[in-house]
Amino acid sequence: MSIGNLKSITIHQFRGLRDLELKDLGHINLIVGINNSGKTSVLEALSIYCHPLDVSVWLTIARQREQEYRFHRTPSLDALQWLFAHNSLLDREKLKTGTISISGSNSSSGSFPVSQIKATYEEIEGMFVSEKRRKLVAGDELIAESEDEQIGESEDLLELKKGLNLRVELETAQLSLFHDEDNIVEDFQLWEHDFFSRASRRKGPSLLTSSVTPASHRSDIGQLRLLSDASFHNFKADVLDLLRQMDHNISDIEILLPPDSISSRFNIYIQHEKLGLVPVSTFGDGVRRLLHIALKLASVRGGILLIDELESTIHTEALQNSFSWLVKWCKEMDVQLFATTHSLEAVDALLEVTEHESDLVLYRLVPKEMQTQVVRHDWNRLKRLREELGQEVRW
Amino acid sequence: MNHKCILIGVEGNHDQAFLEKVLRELFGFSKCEDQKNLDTLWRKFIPVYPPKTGRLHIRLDMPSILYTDTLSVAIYAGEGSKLVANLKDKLSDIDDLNSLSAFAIVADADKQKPAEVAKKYRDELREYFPDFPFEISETGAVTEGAPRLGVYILPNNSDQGVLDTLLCACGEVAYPVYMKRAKSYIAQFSDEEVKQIGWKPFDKEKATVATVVSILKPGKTNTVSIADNAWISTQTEQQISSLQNLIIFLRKLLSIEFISVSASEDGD
Repeated sequence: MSIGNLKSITIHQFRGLRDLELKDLGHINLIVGINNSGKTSVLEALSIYCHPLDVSVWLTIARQREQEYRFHRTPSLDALQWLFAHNSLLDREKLKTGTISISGSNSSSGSFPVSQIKATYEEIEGMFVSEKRRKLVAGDELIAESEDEQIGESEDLLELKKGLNLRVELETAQLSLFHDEDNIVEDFQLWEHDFFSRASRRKGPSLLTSSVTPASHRSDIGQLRLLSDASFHNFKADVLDLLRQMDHNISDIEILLPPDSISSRFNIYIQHEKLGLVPVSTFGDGVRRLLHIALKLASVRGGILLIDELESTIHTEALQNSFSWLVKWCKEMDVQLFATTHSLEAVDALLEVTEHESDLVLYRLVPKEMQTQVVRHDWNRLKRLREELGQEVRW
Repeated sequence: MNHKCILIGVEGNHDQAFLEKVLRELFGFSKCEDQKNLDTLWRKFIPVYPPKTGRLHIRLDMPSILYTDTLSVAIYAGEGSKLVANLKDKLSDIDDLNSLSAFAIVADADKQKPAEVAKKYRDELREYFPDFPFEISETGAVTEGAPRLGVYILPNNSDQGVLDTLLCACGEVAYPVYMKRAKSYIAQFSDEEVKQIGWKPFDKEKATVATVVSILKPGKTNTVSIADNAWISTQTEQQISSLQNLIIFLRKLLSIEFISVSASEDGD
């Protein structure tokens, strides 16, 4: 069995991270460290590295931390800019340019050829016909020519928009399947308020990833699709076993139309021996998050699963069985897992359910003035540190 | 707390109690008993017990932490032959070894000659400390650097022996009558008897010290007697050259020029 797609990764510049190196990655990679040490940023950097030319993924990652604040979200381009490293956060002028630089080495058996990604942006401004005028023109074709001219001449109907010129340069370690040469350079021009999720998605090398955040299990988006996916049905029985860690009365899971619904919106239902058929949204976070993780796992066969705060919502008594399930299916589906945790119980539970040197690797991030240092423990050493020496390994 | 931190690895609890007594009695160190006074570096040396499935009664090593106004010394007792393996695991979890002012090993020479023991430790610790010393004189060896590195092989860096070899010498000064009686008692055991019991080299010295301990502190362990009785004192220091050599070694390791007598009195 391979240890996964990525063998090592170095985050040279990304958000506040500088020259952070994760060597000799394992199948399960656990990232620990104090608050603000950059754990979540590492997961984000991995997503970017694995989708180097898909700016829609970049935008999703940029706003991932805000998904619970639906009404006061940072504008997309602003959020995107904060993914980049800047020379000085105090100097407003220096925020107008930024750099992301990530390099990695990948499994020779894998199909992901990118060895380095370097991205830079430059803030730009442009004049656009305002939304108001566009609506006028599009909504009433009978506008008199004279009126139209008056509207067109009015400066109030032009608006200044912020934009970004984004350049992404890729180095590939293998002969590229996508371009004739080994290096790929792509330029994007992004404008605030534009719908650019499709326009900015370029064909290019990518490695399947999926992210689980501490709150993403509360969102319905995409869950139905994942549950109805054929790949899920192959291990539905095992998913039910996992959910029974939380509630042993769970017997089945289905996608159904609510009985009294007048709309055609389907929902996920759980068959419960005491409660009957009930929507999954009525269950506690534990059941919902484990289901969410299972669905995400099934969606990235052969790729990478990124879980922020692995232990979140799972009671300490259920950690070991839940993780045993997770490790089994990560191996089964050849999914490389990267997870952050603040929990020593989670570390101990993962140690219990893994057994080889490369099964589990723990990385502790230690922020220093000029860079983030990394302390690496493979499974063997981690087991000795925890079980024989009782060593605290989270800080 | 902003002390210069020094880590000393020893092979067992008796060695730990002995060095602790030396630092308290002859260098004026105090023992840290309250977790909130611990230097950050040592906080990670407090065992956080893992799941105890099947290991309900196991106790994990807690170093002795001693301090002055400027220094903080942790004496870590590994499990004998596992000292280096345990120390290497501990060192691997320190993100910056320069946060240590000094690191040293104080071991004994029960199975090999002191020079061979020193070389063994140098070889095993080279991964973390490429300059770890191994050419020892009668005062051990200390290499200047960041951190300073030292090795001292009991009883005296030249003869084979153990801590109890040195304690016997101290006992001759501190408790000459008890030592004489204890040796007389031990001498009653024939070679055939001790072979049957299964004594190893230097177990005779260990039995002699334990005999005196059973008189000084009935029902207590050697570590209690080393801490509370007069095996280590200014009197024994003045008369036992190998104890004087250990003091010189520790002065170099801790980078201490003078010993404060008043601090020593406060320490107890």
